[in-house]
Amino acid sequence: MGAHRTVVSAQARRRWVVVLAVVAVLGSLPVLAGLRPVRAAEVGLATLRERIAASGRQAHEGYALSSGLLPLPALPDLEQVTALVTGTTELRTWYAAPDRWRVDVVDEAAERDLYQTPDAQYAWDYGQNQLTRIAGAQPVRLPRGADVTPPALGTRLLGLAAADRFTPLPGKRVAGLAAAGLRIVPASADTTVAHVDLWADPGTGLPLQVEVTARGGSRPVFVTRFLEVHLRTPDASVLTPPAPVAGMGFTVTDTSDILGAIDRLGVGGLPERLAGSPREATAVGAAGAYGAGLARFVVVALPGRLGYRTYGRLRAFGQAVTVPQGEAAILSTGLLTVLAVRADRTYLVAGLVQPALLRRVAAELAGGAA
Amino acid sequence: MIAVELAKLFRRPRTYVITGLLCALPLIVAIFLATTRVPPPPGQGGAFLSAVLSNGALYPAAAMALVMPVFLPVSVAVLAGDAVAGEATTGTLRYLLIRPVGRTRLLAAKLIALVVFVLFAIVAVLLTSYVTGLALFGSQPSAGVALPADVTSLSGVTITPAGLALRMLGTVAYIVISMLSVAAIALFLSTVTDSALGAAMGALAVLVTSQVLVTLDAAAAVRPYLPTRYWLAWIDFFRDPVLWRDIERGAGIQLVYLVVLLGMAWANFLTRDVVN
Repeated sequence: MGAHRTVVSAQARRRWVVVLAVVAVLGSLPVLAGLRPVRAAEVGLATLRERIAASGRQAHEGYALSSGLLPLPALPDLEQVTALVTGTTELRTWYAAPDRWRVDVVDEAAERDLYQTPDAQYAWDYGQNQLTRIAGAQPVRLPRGADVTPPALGTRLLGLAAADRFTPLPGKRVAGLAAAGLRIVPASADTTVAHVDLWADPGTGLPLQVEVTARGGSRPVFVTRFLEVHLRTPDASVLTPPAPVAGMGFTVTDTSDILGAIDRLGVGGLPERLAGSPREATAVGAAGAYGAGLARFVVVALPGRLGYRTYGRLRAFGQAVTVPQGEAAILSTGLLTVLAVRADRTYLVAGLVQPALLRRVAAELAGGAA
Repeated sequence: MIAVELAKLFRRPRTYVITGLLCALPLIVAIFLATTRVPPPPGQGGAFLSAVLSNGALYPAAAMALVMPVFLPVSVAVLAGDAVAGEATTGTLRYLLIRPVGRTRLLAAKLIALVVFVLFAIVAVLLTSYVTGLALFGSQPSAGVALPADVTSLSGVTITPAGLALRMLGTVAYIVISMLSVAAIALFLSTVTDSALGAAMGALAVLVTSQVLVTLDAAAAVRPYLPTRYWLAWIDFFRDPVLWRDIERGAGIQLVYLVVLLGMAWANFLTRDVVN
């Protein structure tokens, strides 16, 4: 039996059609915005590389999101570092010059801000209610939020990949800008990185989006990109660190984190060579970098208790490695490989390198052939 | 019509009972904090709770963080679910519509009454929590060192009393807007069923589902469109500079839900057979 159609039901149907039309229009707006054609300025691969490398003087301000999918457990005293590669980090950035910038790591109801001024760095941590003035150079420090903004990470990876292969990528729209892209394919077989995709503003070279894909992976495991960006000099007031007030903790230090403190303890004494690569010449003893390009890895000598806890954590989540003396555990996340070795002292090793390479490192650190 | 609905709102004891309960939650928390002097670690627990011990002027912001995620939306869902279905349950909807008023105007009046309720409840929570904050925590630091009545933003920058008042006004406006989707969902369901409880439960089911999906990484693609995604964006008023991005998106998505759900309520209610 067919539906009995009345004037009232026809009116109701017309109203629902109007509502559905409104829903269709509202729902299609984001889709249509994403389908806008991208016409990035024609720029050659070599020119784009040069512009990205020289983009350190490009003033900008924006809002960026970095997200890592690495299955890495939180390591003792390194929770903020592991969070950078295991989850999503919201970043606000204001950049006037290499010696005048500010990056905020924004949480739901907290904030960690880092100010670079010509004189010093200032770190504000709402969670700790602590303002810290970091005076002097920091020869060794941990990765932090300011390192994973698209410009910071993009220029750093490009600098490391000088000897690798570059190919052009189609342009894409990032934060409303038509960006030109390039792909870095590492030449070394020792790295876990399959390729790094980088999109930058073609005119200024400012990196806008960086994606890192691991070998064997079909999608990036680490992405950092601007959601909003403006190529303008930020207001000076935004770059002025907060003044210490009563009720707020304030300290002055020359070490920004636990790695700097370990270095001052003099735990160091790292081998001159590991896995066939010489240690990079640095003025510090607690940490050393070995290897080249994206196959670079870092070794840190940890003091007793911290070393014990770090090894225990990696042993719980990783695999044991047989070494000549002592013990070792390795954790491979597909992109980042982390190794802990307990021998005459405890070493923490990390890098975007193949587990086989770090197994050789483990054997050498634990008293094998150096 | 609007005056009638507002008069009905403020004549009913339940309006004051619900508002009283909303005000009571921050009061209870303040009493515990003031008695034990044990705040949650800064950056953990309720937003701003760690800061109020040294300056009670910030307690209204902490009170907002306490009532916003659950208590206030539940109140709005209950009242909005009752808006039309409640009239049907009590048998007054038919008599209401006999008056020379259009059903569209009735829906608009119901929505405006709900907005006024949210405004009334939030202002009541703000005022009572401000008095509570100053009475129990004072505007002096606990160390006894003289401190102006300024508060520290999440960015460490001092906010002046005038700046704090402006940011609180922005917070009130944003929270009222944030409750529009709850009101619109419950109001639509209220036109579908004669059960006020069913309409309220339906709205709460939508909100709980949204809250679960907001925390699920696998649902990242739909997250920006969920009604509760930007509910806590008012906290961004207390950063320096104010982070407008989520506030703008939160207001925008609430207006979209309002237009769509109110449109659905209008489409359904205008020619619905009213038997009660």
